Amino acid sequence: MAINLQKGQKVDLTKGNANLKQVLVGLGWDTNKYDGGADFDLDASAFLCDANGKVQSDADFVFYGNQKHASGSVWSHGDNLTGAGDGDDEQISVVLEKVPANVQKIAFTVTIYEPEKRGQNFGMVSNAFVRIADEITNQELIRYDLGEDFSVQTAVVVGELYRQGAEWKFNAIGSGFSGGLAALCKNFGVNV
Amino acid sequence: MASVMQRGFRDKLEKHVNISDKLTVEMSLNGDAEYDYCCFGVDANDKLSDDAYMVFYNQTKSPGQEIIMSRNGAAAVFEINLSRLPSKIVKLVFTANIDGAGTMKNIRSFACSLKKGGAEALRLDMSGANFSSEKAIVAVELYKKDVWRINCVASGFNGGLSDLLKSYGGSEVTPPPQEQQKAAHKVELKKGQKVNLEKPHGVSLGEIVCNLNWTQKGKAGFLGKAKSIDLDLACLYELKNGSKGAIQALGSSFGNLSSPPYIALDGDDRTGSSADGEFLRINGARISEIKRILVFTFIYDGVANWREADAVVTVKTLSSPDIIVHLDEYGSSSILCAIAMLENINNETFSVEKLVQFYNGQEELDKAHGWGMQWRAGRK
Repeated sequence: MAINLQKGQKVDLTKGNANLKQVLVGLGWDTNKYDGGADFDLDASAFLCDANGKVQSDADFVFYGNQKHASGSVWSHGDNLTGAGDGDDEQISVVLEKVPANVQKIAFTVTIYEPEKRGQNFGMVSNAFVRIADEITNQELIRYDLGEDFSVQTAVVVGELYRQGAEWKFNAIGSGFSGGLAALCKNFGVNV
Repeated sequence: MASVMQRGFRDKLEKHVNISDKLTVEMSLNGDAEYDYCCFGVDANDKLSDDAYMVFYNQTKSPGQEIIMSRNGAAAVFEINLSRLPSKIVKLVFTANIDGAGTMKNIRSFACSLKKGGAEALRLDMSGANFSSEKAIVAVELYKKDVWRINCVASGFNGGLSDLLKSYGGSEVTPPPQEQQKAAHKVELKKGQKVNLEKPHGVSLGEIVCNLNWTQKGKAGFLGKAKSIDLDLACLYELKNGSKGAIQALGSSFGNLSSPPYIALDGDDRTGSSADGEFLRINGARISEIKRILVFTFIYDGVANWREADAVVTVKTLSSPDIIVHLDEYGSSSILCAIAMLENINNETFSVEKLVQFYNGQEELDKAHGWGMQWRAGRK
């Protein structure tokens, strides 16, 4: 049973759940049923950050333009441009033990592609969700409903996986931003 | 001071209004076309599972009066009582559409507001610049997800009202394959339901075409035998001057379109294998001379197996969505089925009411509907 986390809530992931080796971040949404507007193109991204919450290089930003981290620990399964299909439309995998030691946390974000140009925001998208699951057992751990919670925003920091000693925890940040992916890149120290 | 909504705005309703009170949603389109407004009460699958919860000019109240529509000048006012809605209705969709030519790009303004006790709580303002080729707008949705919420959609469909009907789906017939591309222009009637044909502004109703189509049974398997059913389309008519009659292939009473009774039957499709079926045409320009028309079908040859025939009558006009009357009661062994009653409304248009009542012959039909004619047996 997935937990609907409250904003700011922190939960243990690996503690007491030593079998959790590979985490899947799934993002899903419905296609735009109305005429006149563009397709809804939502993107899931991951920022591999140091202790200061910044990427060490632009290569630590895994997204549709850089689908696999050099360490092989984090990769995106591909870029869905419309939301067509059931279940997850985009997915990112994390193999916890492969994450480089200097990476203290991995922030997951969901953004709308070209929000200003297309005049779009999360409130226009139907049934947008992000979920975090154990990829091996496919057990869902955490789930967010983006449409209800983020309305007119165009970028959301869903949460972050972070190290605490030898364990991994999850912090449900749930912060919405305007300005799409570019605003988030700036926040995490990626040069755009 | 009303909060301004933008496209995509979502919030809990209780943050803006006390939802135990009566609320009103007001919409007004300002431009050069004719505009219609509608509220669709849909279920958890976004479908209009109960047509009675489509509130619009032809049906201004929902069954429990939870939604009541009125006009205030150019504006449409929907008074709603969310707490009284049946639990199956989880979303109210408020729409506006253009009746006739033009697109939303050409409008001067569109406003939608949520009010409580006359005071505006939330407001949306748009203009033609916000749209392109849309002919229908979904303004806002009030929906229940744990609590009642509002979503400012402010987006639309290029296909107007028929796209709205298609989207919410409740009154859509499942079209036979050859007619699928026209599916958007259909409204299926329920038994006893009555609608008025839409009249184009300033011109006559034009020709009204009633089409009867049915399925001919194919061969049942390799060794099966095909057994055909022949359905005949026919009608009883009553003119304003008191003259009455029947139009049917039986007795070769095919009628006449340009002189009384202004109703005519096309050729007889004996097998049902023609994709088009049978046609009864009514001259809408002479509506003022016609009182009522009772459209019926009967089985001329073959066993009364209505399920196998799976007959459908479609009433088409130039400007109305097609009206579908499906003969969806199959139990009767009677050979005649009264399909629909068309009645003159103020010499302007016809109402169409779905009957689907079975009788053992024309005479019995006549009596049941008070036509009062003399009957004798005839042959084709």
